Amino acid sequence: MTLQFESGPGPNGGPGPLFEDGVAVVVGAVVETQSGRAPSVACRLESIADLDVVGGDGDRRLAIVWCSSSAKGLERAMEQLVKGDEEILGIFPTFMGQDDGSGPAEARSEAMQKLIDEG
Amino acid sequence: MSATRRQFLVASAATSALAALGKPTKAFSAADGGIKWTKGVCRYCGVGCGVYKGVRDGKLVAIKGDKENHNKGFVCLKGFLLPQILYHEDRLTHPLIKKNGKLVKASWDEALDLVAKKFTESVKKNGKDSVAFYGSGQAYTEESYAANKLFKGGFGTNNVEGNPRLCMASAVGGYVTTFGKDEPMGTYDDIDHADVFFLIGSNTAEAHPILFQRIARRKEADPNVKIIVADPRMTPTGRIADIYLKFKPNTDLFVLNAFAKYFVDNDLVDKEFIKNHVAFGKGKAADQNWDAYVAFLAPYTMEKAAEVSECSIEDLEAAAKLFGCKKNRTMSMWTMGINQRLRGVWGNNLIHNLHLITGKIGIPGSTTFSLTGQPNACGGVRDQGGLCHILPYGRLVKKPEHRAEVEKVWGVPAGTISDKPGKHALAMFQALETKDIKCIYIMCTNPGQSLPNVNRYRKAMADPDTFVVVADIYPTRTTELADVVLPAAAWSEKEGVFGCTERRYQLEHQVVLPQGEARADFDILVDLAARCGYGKLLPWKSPDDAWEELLLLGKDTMYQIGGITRARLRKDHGVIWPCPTEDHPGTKLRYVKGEDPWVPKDYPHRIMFYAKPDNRAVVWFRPWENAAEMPDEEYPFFFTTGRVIEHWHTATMTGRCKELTHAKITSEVEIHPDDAKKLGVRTGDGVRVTSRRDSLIFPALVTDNSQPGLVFVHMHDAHLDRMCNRITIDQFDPGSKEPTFKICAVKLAKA
Amino acid sequence: MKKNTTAGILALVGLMALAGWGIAGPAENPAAHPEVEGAFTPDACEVCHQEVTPEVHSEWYDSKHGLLNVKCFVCHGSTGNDFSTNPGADRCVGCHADQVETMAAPFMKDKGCFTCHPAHALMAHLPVAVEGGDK
Repeated sequence: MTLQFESGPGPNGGPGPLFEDGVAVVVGAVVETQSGRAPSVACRLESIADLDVVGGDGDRRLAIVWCSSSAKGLERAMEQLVKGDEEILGIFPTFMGQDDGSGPAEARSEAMQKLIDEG
Repeated sequence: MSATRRQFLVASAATSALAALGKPTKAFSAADGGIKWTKGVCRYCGVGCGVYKGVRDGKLVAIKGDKENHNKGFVCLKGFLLPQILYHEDRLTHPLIKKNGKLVKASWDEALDLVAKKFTESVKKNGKDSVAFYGSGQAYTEESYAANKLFKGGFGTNNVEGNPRLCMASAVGGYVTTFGKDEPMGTYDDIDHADVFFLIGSNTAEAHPILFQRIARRKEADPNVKIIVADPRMTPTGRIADIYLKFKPNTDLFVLNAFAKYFVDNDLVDKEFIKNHVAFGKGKAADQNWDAYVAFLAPYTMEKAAEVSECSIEDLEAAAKLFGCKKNRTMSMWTMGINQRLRGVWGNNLIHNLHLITGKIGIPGSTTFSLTGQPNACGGVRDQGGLCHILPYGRLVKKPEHRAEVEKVWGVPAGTISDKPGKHALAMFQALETKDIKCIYIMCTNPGQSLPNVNRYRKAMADPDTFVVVADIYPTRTTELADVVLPAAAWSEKEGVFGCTERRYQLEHQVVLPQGEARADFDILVDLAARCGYGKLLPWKSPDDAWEELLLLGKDTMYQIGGITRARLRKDHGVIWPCPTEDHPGTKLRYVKGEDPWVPKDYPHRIMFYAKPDNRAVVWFRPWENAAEMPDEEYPFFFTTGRVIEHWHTATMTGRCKELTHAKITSEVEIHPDDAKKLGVRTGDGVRVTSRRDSLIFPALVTDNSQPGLVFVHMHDAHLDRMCNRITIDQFDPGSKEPTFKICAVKLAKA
Repeated sequence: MKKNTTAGILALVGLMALAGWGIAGPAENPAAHPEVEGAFTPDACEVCHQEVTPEVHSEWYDSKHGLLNVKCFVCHGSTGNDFSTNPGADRCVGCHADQVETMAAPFMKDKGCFTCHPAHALMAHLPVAVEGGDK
């Protein structure tokens, strides 16, 4: 499974490149897991350097913060994670901040917005 | 990027992600000092204390009590030091296979293929009953269930047992014979309402510290609360006792009957309660009456009790008076002192009798409450049916309709489950000795140290013609005898349900990854099943799936666990069954109208023992008789074993915790000063303890906590030269098949 | 509305960071306790300390911790370099998390919990004369 975003400019209707190459970023995201598997997925995520699980609903969603010195690298890591871990259904960034001196940038997908509105 | 800006970004990122979650629970959200706290359950005893497990950088680093759970935020000293049990250098991190007498590293494929081959071949060649499973009251319910299903529904043998046979079988026998179904009717909440506590055969202070604390708090809150402790040794539990009955070993059954006679003679019985709720029985039939009971009690006078037990008649009468006084709410609690003996079931029956004839039952503070030793003996083995004669949730192997119900849920052809009960724990290892059982899978327990007369069974396990598989987290006295050792994931490295003493089911969350190649017992069993050709029988992806099946099996039984869904377990701090629906609060007073969903709302009485066909609990006539092995001229001392607070079971975990081993680990022989003087030994001297089984030297601990004619050794020391079960006898209660660890005869000599 | 929620959680995150009460960290005072070895040592710290520090032992024994078997090593750790003469709040947190988490900062810097709860006796409430209060 790949990153799931509502249709965007990228290939297969994806959102297009999220990050510029070579730029350090801090990303907040929600990880959607199979029902009931959030706690065990959290254990696995915790073993990833620079990734912090900051919250969870105890069931199927986790809130994470992921810092990386390379935005591109982080995007690739996210894709690999979703592909490699069958209990992870998707990763939805809710926030992205870059270290280029600019202020925080929101990067919330429509799907995520819908989840928030429902929540 | 400045640190401040980075911090701001991280906080913003966290806020944004948390906001998107909707309603974050405490799990993973309370990040303090870099530690994330997740709720869970203590790994050790049957009290089942709620804990929060603190993880930092992928490692369990701290424990704190869960104040929303029954333990109100407290943990005992073992619980506080829990993180250490995961990280000792001895951890088993890859499978091992015995080759040329030595355990050597192997791959999972190699190990599990070998196990599958040996087990399936043996079934083909030697029959279904040539294989066996020996499990544990420490495995998660889903794990014990996976094994139960694989062996009973796959291989087709009821040779499924577990270490609860060594500790709780007599309590099960007591509850089932007296009330019709297993498990106590009260909860820990009763402690807060009791006026009198009767603790017999239980060193609560060391074995169940958090319950002891709750009792102590109750007494502190109300100085009128009285505590009676009955034990042949003066243990730390005695510090809060108002009356200490230091009876001669094995005379407690006499004392219990004498209490009953005292109630009868002094008009402390509740005749109305007896009329409505009690039947009387002898042997196996409930065909007696009140007059016959009074006649049965005739020899059990207080005078005689004082003579037999060597307690003062004043103390005995004062204790009986406190217990029986009509205005008092009385709570009895007991453990292995009652259970691990030749007449363990009878001991349980006699305690229940005291509550039934006085009507002190089913009222908050009045209850008959057995304490359990392991975190999941109740939920995982007793309730789930992980013993050789039972099936899930109160069903019996012997009953065709019960087998059919289970076969239906399992989707196996009728007749798959054998109608023949399997071999109970000791018989199982005796069958290994005679080679009637050829292959045994041992999970999460250490029979190479914990079985009585253990030399005999160690030899059987070490025999090259038997195939022994052991799954554990550390090397033990059992893994050293194994043909295949499977490295198991530890507590907190896997997820599953624990069911503790008070019928409370709780979810234990995974918070860290298993170490090395270790895998959860659940995964190992599912994998093994597939390799044995039973993949369809255990098709589960995770323990959640197995739990769904367990809810199906349990929902329409008297256990009524249907409302204890996974989602609820994740959220709640434990749920007490019967609990028929997800919005049901759980049942604190079982059998009581308005509390227990099984009692009809229009039932004419406050209590209904619905698990008995005539709704009557049975007062059994159980005489006092000798232990399996009584002291005699040649072996003049009683030998008894038990716990200390620092350690737990065979110390596989606590023995790898630095503070605990430094504080205490060596088994000493506790000896009374009178006997020590005769032998000429002082504290620290070696004493040779010899039984008809073996002879070992222990350092002496001379103390008047003991009594003349009795010696005590704690059971935790894993050193081969001080393993107390080389001395103990492998006789067992004929009803419960529970071994008589608590009493055998020895002689002593200065070493 | 949404903004409020976000701000609320942001504040919460901040508070949690401020309240970080450091469960971690080695004990400040690593004054080592001699290693205790020997096959026939009558074990348990109490046996020895009943003789070498009888007052300390009886203060503990008569306290709630003594009654409830909260033994020496729970607070002081093991022997050798793992021993700590002055245990930190990290040793109290197992059972008294609320109290530790809500402790006022000045106490933290001083003797921690033991400012008000004298070591070993560890009474729940120290009888103190309140300055300016009724005499």
